[in-house]
Amino acid sequence: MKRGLPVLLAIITVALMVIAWFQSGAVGRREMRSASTPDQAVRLMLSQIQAHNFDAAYARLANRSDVERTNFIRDFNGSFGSLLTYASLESFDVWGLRTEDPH
Amino acid sequence: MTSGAFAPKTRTEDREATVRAKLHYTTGVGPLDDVRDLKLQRTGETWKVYWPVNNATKLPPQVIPVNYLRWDVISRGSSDDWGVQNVDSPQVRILSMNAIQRPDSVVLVGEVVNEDSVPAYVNVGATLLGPNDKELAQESSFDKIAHTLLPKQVSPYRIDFPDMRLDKIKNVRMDAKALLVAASADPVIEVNQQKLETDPLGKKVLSGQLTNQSGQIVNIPHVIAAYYDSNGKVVWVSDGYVAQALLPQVPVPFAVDLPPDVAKNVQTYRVVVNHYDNAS
Repeated sequence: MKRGLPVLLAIITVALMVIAWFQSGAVGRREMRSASTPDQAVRLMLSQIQAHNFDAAYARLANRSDVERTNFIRDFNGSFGSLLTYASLESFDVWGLRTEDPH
Repeated sequence: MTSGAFAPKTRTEDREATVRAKLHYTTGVGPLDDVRDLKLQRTGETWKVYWPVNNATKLPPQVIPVNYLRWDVISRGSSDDWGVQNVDSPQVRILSMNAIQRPDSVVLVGEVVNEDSVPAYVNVGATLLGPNDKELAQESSFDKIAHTLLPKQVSPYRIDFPDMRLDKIKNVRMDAKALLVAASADPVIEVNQQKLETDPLGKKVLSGQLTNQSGQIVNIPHVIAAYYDSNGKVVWVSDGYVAQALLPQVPVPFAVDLPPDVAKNVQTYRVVVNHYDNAS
């Protein structure tokens, strides 16, 4: 009983932590970070934009050499005192339209 | 953050994809939505976004003369005698009012005109009266009107009464308040390529382009559209803020939506562009 109760409490604590980890959406976040599907790649980029992590979002572009970083950020943050400069990205919806093999 | 109802399955040999993203922004004037179709490329096991390159028109340095009318106001000052009359308030008149029952509200739409020869800051309000002239609700047009009206200028207006039914209303008392303000006819914003169409999300919209004809930047453009039926009656008024600033001579697209059941009866429409500047 002396050793049994602490062991039991430790097991219950670990189990509750694992449940909380799953319920917090950590599995979904891990999958999203892998960007292994088009939806996940766009959601990851937009969630980085939402967190104002513009460098990480810019790094997710396939054509970084053609797009200036300041122009990319301005597309989300606005410029010249526009309404977008006073706005914040609250949420986003993403859905795939099509995928194809160009060859 | 939510995902769409359906996403096509990605096959292992697919190397390109198109994804639609709808971004929801919160602003001080309400929600703002932006829909973008994004192309992606697969590099190894990872998909990356192919961002559209912004080829914005660059204007050469130039001088743009401003020849438009402008009005300044000198009001009564503290050194004037107490009985000195101030400048008269401008005369405005409500041209039309149409009460429409919507699924969850009553909407009053119409037009107001500045009949005076001086500019006016206008606000239109309405009080709904039930049996025995009992006041049911009172609302104003808020930002669904072009508040600053130059002489003889007409603006549409819309007043929403949420959770109201037309059959409860016996009378409507309209109230157009006008204040004398300084104003200018500049900047002039051109509206062209207007058309009623269905957007990629299936909504009926009036779309077009705005072009700032002046030499100063318009920070926050606000589009107000009035829709008329075959008898010339105003059947709907919708408005929307444009997320981008209007640089001189650079066209910017806009779109304002209207209910599909209203769109069926629309014969003509008219767009008025209001604007708010950071300096004012």
